[in-house]
Amino acid sequence: MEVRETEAVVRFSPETATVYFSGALRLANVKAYDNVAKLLHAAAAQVGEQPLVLDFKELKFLNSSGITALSLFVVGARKAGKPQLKLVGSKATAWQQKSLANFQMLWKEVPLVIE
Amino acid sequence: MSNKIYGDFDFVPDVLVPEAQLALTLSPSELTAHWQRCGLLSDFVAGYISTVYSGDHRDAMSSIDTAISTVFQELIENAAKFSRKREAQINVRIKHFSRVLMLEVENGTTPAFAQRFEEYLRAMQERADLDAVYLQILEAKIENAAAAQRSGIGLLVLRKDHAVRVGVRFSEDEQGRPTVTVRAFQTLEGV
Repeated sequence: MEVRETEAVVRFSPETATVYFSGALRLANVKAYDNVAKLLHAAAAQVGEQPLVLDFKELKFLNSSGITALSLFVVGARKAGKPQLKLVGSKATAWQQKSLANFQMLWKEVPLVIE
Repeated sequence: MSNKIYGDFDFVPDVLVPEAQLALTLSPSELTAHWQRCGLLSDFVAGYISTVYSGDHRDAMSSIDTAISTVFQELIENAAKFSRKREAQINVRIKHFSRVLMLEVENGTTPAFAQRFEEYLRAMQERADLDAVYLQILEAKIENAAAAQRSGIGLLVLRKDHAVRVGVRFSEDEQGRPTVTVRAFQTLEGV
């Protein structure tokens, strides 16, 4: 399962229960992230009781509309109590160290791993 | 209307001579029609400035490049979205002072947007805990589908997560129409 945008690819691997983000997600507004949101919800439905990993290591940019769209997903999962989430980022990308912790603020039990 | 200023708009005095500067004039429609241009501009501005640091460690230069592009992207996106659609221009001015970078984006806008933006800035000014403001905005979006479609966190994220000083000036053009000028001051050390 994959969403391709002009500068980015978002791919779900059922084998690793991981959504891989790569490239630059700088879409025009929150609505423009609908396809990404649909992929996340479909991935959530597939992983069942397993944690769903959101791997941002290869994502160079995420704009504030993208942060909002992903935040809505995180809060939705928190309210539903599932899926459990795990966030993975990279030390090498400036925004990840600073902004991935924001998702954790929305759901404190979500582990954040910066590699 | 006299100018109204919020935040750190005059963080670097206008009389200071920059080491490098760059100015661009754009129209909002050319950005909204081809949204990818916002990213192209952000990467161009970031590359233009960060090349100065090419003698530094490669990771440091890459980090500066990404940080500049991230900040400029939020400013240019806002100008593209919230400009008056007709006869409006977006004026970009970049000034690089040693380790401080000023990114300025000015655009003509509607009275309704200017008012809404000013209310937002006043609310931000009154709250010291930016994490709490951030959480409040995002939680409100869960309850309100219309609000969820607007991001509204761009400048807040710049201040909160990127240690960027932000200032905004509200003024009028010669025809009395509102003009918004946003300045972001970014320290290019340890980004």
